[in-house]
Amino acid sequence: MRTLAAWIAMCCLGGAAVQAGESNSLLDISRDAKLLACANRDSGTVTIVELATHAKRAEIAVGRHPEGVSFVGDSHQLAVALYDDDCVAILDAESGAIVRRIDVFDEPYGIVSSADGRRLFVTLDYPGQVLEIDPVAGTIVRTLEAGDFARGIAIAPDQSRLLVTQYYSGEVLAIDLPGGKIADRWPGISNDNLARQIAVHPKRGKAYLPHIRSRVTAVHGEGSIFPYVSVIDTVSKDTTAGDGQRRRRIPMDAFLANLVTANPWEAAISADGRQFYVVFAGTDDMFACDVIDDDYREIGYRKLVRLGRNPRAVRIAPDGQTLYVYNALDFNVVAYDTRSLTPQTTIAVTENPLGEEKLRGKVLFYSAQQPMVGRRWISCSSCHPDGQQDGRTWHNPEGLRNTQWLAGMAWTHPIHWSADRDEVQDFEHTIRGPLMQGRGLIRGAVQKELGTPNKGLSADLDALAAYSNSHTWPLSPYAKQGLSAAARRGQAIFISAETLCATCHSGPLFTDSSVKSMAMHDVGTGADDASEKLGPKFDTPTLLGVYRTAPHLHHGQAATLRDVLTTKNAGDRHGKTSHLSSGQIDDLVEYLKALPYEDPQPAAAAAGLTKVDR
Amino acid sequence: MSIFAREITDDLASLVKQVDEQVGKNSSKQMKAFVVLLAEDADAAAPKLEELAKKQGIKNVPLTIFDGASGPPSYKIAKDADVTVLLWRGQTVKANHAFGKGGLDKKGTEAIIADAPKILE
Repeated sequence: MRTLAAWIAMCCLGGAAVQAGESNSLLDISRDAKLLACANRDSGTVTIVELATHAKRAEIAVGRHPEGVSFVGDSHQLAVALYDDDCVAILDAESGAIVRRIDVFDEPYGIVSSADGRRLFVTLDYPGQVLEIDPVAGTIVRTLEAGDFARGIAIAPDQSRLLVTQYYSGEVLAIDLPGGKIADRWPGISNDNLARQIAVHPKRGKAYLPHIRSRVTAVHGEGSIFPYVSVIDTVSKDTTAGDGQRRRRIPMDAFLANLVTANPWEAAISADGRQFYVVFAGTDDMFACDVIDDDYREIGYRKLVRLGRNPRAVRIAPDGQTLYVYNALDFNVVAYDTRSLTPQTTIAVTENPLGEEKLRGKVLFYSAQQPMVGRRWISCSSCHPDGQQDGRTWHNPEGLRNTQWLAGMAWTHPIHWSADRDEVQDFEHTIRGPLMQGRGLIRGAVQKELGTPNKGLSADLDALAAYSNSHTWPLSPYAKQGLSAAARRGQAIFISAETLCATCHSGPLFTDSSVKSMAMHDVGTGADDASEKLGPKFDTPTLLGVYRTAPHLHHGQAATLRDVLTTKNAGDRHGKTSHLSSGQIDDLVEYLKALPYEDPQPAAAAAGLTKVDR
Repeated sequence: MSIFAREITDDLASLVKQVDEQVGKNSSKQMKAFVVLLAEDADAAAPKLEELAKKQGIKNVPLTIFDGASGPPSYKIAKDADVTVLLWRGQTVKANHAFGKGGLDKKGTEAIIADAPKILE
């Protein structure tokens, strides 16, 4: 039974309504319901749509990978989080002009506005912070610590606090705005993962976050990855309450009988608090639900709606009559009548910026349906969302395997910790295998891994390779001003003949691995895992981008770079580091964190290294 | 017979054991049963269920976990029911029993077992 305090709080919130920019999204609707803004991640643009006519008013180039857009208060100004440009852009939706840019440390993802428009709050995925920004002055007012890999963000209807999701754990933090401190936490369970968005209910004291489960001990179609909506009770303070009292998981694979949906991306709640929607970017569908005010089921099934390709955002007009879905790989926004849930209008918001081949590859990469996947429960992107890692070490049949970032993979073949694939096309075996159970992309016989190339046997498979190989490294945020003095000292240690770091982590890509050499090394980690089948030698991973890929090593047993160099380097088998002082280890870590401090590709090309386009 | 439970207690273990025996005795009459533990953290709950199976020597009744405390929506498990038992024959529920927290006892178990003949072929 809900407590008296909670009831009082609910009554206080009774008059609240969903406002523009209240929870992070790729879509937002202005408070006056005249404009819709759509952040086009691949195009690097924001599209402004007139809602009265559903006409595209403008498409504004903003920068690389806009991941969040929010109207500023009740104005027609927009704030855009530019993930790979490390800045927040403020633009005027009326004129299309960019008013100002506010540089941030790294990876701005979710962005919301206070109701009065005087403040913006943006999550930095890495290093896990929330910035409070004055949009008029263009200044960062406060930096608030927000755990690790902060993505989703919502502002409470009473404006008193922020709710922030941890991407790789699903934990929700409440940050008290007056004090700027973490005031409450709602931990997920150990396998909750990829919580990139959160939406608040306008009246119920509840917040809803779509996410997945990454159950690392089950890898063969037995429930390793499944979709959820978690509901948190933002009012109750009773942390001793039992299962599901403060945080309840609603499995989306069992929501409509046993229909599996994959990769929940965003959720939305109507202004009256009665409608709830969640889109699935892997199975290209959406559950339309009724909010149930029972502190138990929370949402009830209304309808399954088939969507376009890779739906990543959903927003409801303030009057609750129209729903907008952003199909990221159809490059459109579709308007639905919320009563009939039939499509009313399709708005082309941008052109395909990827080219036909990479688009086809990206569609396949995100698809949890045939021919990629047999049981709808997983896609390539479930573990490599947008080419990044999933922060997990999987108990694979060959042993423990820490999911790797795909950045720069075009340059760093062979693939996998055990170099058991020399081309992306070899993943036809994974697609057809017990993990994905898809029909596959090749018609006819498939060549063995590392054998005769599978490249050229299927245009779709080559397209998948072209997309997979398209991810590039961003420059390290730790080297924006060049290498620090500590990093330079660390560099000297790194390249010294004594430590031997640069013997294997060599050249412009910081690896001696190549398809030609297939060089692998035993760095003393192969015996750590009794389940290991392919060790003890492993492929030398690039160190570019290693600042954001903890945990480290093939088995993920080094929580930090310092651990790699100290506690996980018994016997100096992974370079000689035991003689280094603590300060020298710090310097070496500073150097590693600064990688890449310049685009490595020109140097790689000059060195004659091979880039694999597809 | 479907048994939905939110907590593993001695009384639940006793019920499961007795149902397991009934299923064993009535296999020729097509009696089947399963247990669904409704849990927010399925991974944490799994060892407890394994322990129950081992300790009670369960042979005939699959013990499963549903990932979510409110259970499969189509079953409409009551919010306050710690244990819900549905006895089916074909598509028809012949009997059901629900017990609040701590409500399942020896008498409740006897009532469930007494209803078992209703679902035999």
